[in-house]
Amino acid sequence: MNESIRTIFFSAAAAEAVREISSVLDKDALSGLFVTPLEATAAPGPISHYVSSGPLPDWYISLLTAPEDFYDASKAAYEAEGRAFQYTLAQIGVLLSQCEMHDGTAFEETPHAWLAQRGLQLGVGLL
Amino acid sequence: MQIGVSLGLSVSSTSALSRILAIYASGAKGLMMPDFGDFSKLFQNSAGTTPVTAVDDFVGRALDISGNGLNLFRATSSARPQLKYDDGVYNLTCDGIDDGLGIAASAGVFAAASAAFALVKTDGLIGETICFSYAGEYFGSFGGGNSSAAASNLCGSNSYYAVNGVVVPGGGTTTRAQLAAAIPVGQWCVVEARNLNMSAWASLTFGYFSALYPKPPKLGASPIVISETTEDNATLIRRYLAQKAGITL
Repeated sequence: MNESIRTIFFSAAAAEAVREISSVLDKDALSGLFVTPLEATAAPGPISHYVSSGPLPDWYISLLTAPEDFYDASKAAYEAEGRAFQYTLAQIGVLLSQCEMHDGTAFEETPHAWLAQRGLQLGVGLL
Repeated sequence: MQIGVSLGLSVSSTSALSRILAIYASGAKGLMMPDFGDFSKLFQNSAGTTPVTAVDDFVGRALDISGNGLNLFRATSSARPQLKYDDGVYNLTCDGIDDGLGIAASAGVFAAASAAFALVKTDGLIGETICFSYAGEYFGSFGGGNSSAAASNLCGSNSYYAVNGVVVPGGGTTTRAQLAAAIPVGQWCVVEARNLNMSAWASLTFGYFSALYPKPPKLGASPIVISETTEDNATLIRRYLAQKAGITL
């Protein structure tokens, strides 16, 4: 499986749905994504986003930039489990519009630096 | 590269490893991670089907060499630490976002009195960090200026930390600031935690704990958690790890 390093965050409003759908797309490699909370550097406190950083399957990265493909793949994955997929294509489009992705190459420091550029820092929502 | 590393073990190092493994064979609980330079014990995926072949590979599974079967793994693709080579030491490096490795077991796999030894290196703290944790419990937490305990309340009253064999002040109530002051920045060192009560620990995780502890140290050589043991055995383990980084104790 080809992988590429990415730092990806979703708005807190979208993260739960994307987290759940991703875990159906691949119950091993994509379970546990977007659980690290972020808060605005200028207004710490409320959790505004959730982030993941590191190697991810290329096919998954591609899906995040293509709502129709994400919808089709997710629907198929749910149906393969005998479950109904409860999102419309429009809703998937809204979810993915709340995603920002960074092509990190200098792995160790880039995620934090990029988040700082975006006005975000690690939050304390899991404490 | 990994073959050269394996064959490059000195006779004394190999002998020391055999003696450490003999402690486990005699019934000690806990785990011993592989030397991270032994790629045959490391896998990129959590299922253990794709071997690690080079520095910079991500590590999804590390085999426990103690014989107790407590293999460490991380299934989440983006959350696997990365194999690095730093100052002569193969190590696991976490991104400080979500990386970590852990075991999934049940209570009783660690002893009520346990000792932990790890070769660690921090390149400068961002706030605080935590080395090992389980469900909110932890040990190896350090950070300048923090008077909170360096380990959670599972520590026994006779527990203590040592760095390169030198006991850190504070005993069972060593603070994070005291431990931070004892750990040299930018240098590999052997950190040990002794007489930890780990009887309730059903898993063990190295790596990301929470946002308050953003960047765990690099973890090198063969981290060890073992039933509390004799001073002779502790010296053996400490020197085994120190030798990996060229530290003379």
